[in-house]
Amino acid sequence: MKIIYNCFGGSHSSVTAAAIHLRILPGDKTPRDSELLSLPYFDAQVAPDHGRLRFVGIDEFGNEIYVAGKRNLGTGYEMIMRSFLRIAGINDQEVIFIDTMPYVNAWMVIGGFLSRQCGLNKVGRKIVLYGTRRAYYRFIILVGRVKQRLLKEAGRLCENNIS
Amino acid sequence: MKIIFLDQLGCYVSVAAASYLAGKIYRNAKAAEVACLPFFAAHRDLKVGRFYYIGQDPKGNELYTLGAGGQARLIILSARDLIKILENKDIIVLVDVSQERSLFFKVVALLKLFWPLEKAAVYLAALALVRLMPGLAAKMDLKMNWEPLDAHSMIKDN
Repeated sequence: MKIIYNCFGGSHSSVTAAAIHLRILPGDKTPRDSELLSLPYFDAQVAPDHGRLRFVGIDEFGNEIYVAGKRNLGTGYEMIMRSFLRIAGINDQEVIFIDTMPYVNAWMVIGGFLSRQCGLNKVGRKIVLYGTRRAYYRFIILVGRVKQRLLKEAGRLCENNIS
Repeated sequence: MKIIFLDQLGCYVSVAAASYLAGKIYRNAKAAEVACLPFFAAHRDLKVGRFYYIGQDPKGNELYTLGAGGQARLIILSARDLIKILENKDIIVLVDVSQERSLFFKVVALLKLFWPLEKAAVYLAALALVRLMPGLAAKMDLKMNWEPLDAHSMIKDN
C-alpha cells in the first residue's frame, strides 16, 4: 500500500507525521530541534515542488510512505487524485491519503509562511520548530489512528483469504 | 489512450476542448451549441474532483474532463508521480486548460449556483467559449500543454 501524508507545502506537518510513522521520530516524547531539522524534506520544499510525491521510507507493514504538498486544495486533493486513479483504471484502494492540515497550529502556519514563502529561513524555522513541538502529540495521535486503520484492513484481508 | 482535460470544475473549458476533439463541436460553434454540450456547466456546487466522460476521438482515445480546482499544474505533478509509483503501463495524457480566462469562469461557476442567474450564467459561459474556441481549437490541434504520462516521457524526465 502507498500512504501519502499531505499538507500545504509538504515541508513540515506531513514530513513530521511520516517520520513518526516510520519511527524516525519518537512516538512517546517531543523530539529535539536537531532531530526535526535532520528529517529528509523538513523545511526544504519550495513552491515548484508542490504536488511532487516524495518517498520517505517503508514502514513495518511494508507500506511505502510519501509526503506531498497540495497548497490550498484541502480535502479536494484526495478527491481529485482518486478521480484520476479511477479514470486511469487503477485500484484506488492501494493508496491512502492522509491530510495533516487539521493537526497544524498557528505557529506552524506562520513559521512555514515566513520560511518557505518569504524566504526568512532563520526566523521562520525557529517558529515552525516551536509550533511542530507544540503540535507533536497531535501528530502521534494521527499516526496511531492511521496504523490502527492499517491493522484493521490487514485483518479484513486475512479474514477474506481464510474464508 | 486516455486524455484528461483539467479545469476548475471539469465542466466549462475542459468540456469544450474534449468535445472539439470528439467532433461534437467545431471551432466556429454557436453559443447555443456550446450550451447544449453534455456536461457543460453540469456542476451543482463548487466541489472539485468530479470527472465526466465526454466520448472518443476519431482515433479511439477516451476523452474525460476533471475538475482540478485552481491547481491543475500541481495535480499534473502528483498524477505523474502516482503513475510512476503504481507502475501503470497505460498511456494517459493530461491537458491543462484551466488558464483560459480562469477568473471569468470562476465567477460564472459561482453565479450558476444562484437560481435566478442560472441560465444567464450558462449562456455567458457559452458566449465566452464561442470567442475562445478558435484559439482553443488551434491549441488542441497543435497539442499544446499536453502532458503524456507514459513510460517514455518519464524516462526523459529522470
